[in-house]
Amino acid sequence: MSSHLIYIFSAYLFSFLVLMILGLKIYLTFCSYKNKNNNF
Amino acid sequence: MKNFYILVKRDLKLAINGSTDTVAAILFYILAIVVFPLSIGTDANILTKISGGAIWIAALFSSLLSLDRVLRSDFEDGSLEQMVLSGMSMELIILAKCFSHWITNGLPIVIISPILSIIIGLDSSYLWILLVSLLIGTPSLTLIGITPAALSCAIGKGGVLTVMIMLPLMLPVLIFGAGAIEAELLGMGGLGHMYALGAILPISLLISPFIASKAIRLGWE
Amino acid sequence: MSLFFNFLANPSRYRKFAENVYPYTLLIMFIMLIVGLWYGLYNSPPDYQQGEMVRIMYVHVPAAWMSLMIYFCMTILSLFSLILKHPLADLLTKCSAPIGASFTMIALVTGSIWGKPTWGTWWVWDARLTSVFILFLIYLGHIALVNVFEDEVKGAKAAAILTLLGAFNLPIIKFSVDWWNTLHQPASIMKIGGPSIHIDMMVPLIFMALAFLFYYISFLLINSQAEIYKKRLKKTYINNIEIHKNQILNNSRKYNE
Repeated sequence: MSSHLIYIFSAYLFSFLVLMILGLKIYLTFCSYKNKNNNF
Repeated sequence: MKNFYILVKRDLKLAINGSTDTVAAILFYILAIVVFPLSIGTDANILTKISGGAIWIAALFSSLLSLDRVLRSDFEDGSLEQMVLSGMSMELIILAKCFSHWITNGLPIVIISPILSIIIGLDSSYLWILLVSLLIGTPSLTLIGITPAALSCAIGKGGVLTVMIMLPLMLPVLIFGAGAIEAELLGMGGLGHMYALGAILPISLLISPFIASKAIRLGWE
Repeated sequence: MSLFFNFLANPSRYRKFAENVYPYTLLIMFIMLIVGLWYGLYNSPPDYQQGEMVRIMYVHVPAAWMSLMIYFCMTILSLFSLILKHPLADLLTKCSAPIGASFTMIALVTGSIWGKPTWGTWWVWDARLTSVFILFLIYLGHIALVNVFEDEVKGAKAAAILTLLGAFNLPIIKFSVDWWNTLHQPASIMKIGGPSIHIDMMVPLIFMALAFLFYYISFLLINSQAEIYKKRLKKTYINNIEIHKNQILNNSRKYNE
């Protein structure tokens, strides 16, 4: 049963990669638009 | 109510005159089914097992492709506006368009299906369930697909996006329809699937005209 | 509650509210995540049948819950947008869709990874998996539809119509495991009679669910701020073009005289 650790690892890794990539993309677009708006 | 019939007669005349691609849609349906034995081989067992699904897939694609032009051609040359301005309610117009689309697309699908069942290798004792499932299912396909067709009026062009929106919404009808035939083939009885199909039809009949009319008004804003 | 919604209906006020709130929701998300991971990966018992594989449930189930909840929120927001014409509803729907699609993809993929060693197959077309896959396709269609319009307001309203159409799928997903008895496990938490899962497994599940919920709230706030800034930038750009165009016209008129 412990040979299944690769599955658990890949499942958690995939989900956190997706969430991190989406989060970084949203956060970086937010930062770039916020910097462009500094003349308000 | 008289306007409903006038509109349906107008659409049927247009279809017969060849200014819409209804015949092309039916030809596509036939060709899509003919492709199956050509590609999968003539092993009778395999063909019988997939026959119900194959006929339903071909019916679905034929509906998808012909629904695209149903509303947009009238929207683009302004005749839809004229119909609404003449006092006819938008929901009735949409219902009339659905009905005429079903007569030119769904009904030929149902009528031709026994001939195609010979090509695809479906046993004639299962013909009744094929006919009934298609009869109940094709109006649902038209009704469910008319709303993305109305959205394509607002977009201004059709293409893959409209098909991509229509396909997931039509999938339950496909699943139940093909599943009914498969259940009969396996001997488990397709009546449950038929009940589900029979439930989808009135729900889509009630909801689609209102949402589709909202989508068309969006195109006029 | 309605006063709260009316207060936030002004985009500038909403932007200030979001700017102040999002660091705290991010912090809560990280705390919940750490606690949930500690409980999920370390301090909870392995299943007597599946062994350690049950730990995948602690990402799979919260992701599936979030994918449904986000679509439900999008449906309510679409109703607000079409019927009440609330100005914030379109913005929030557009920003929720990518997050919902991601959670759906996570649910599908982690479920598939869970399924291979446990039940022997990567995928099976049973009712719940099929209807969640349909949900994923509807999310993708929503994102495509919003972006194909040049006029943003029209695009948001069209996407609202699509969301309402696809809402029929939600009850099918929820009840499909009761109606069809196939591979996916039936409901064990949200059913009549209370949850039938052990408390030791419930705790990490709840913490991971809260972590994902605050992920959604935080990134919804950040994304909607980015959208507001983008709209302002576009308006300034159009204003600048107008001013520039008038200058050119005035200059050319002077030259021609």
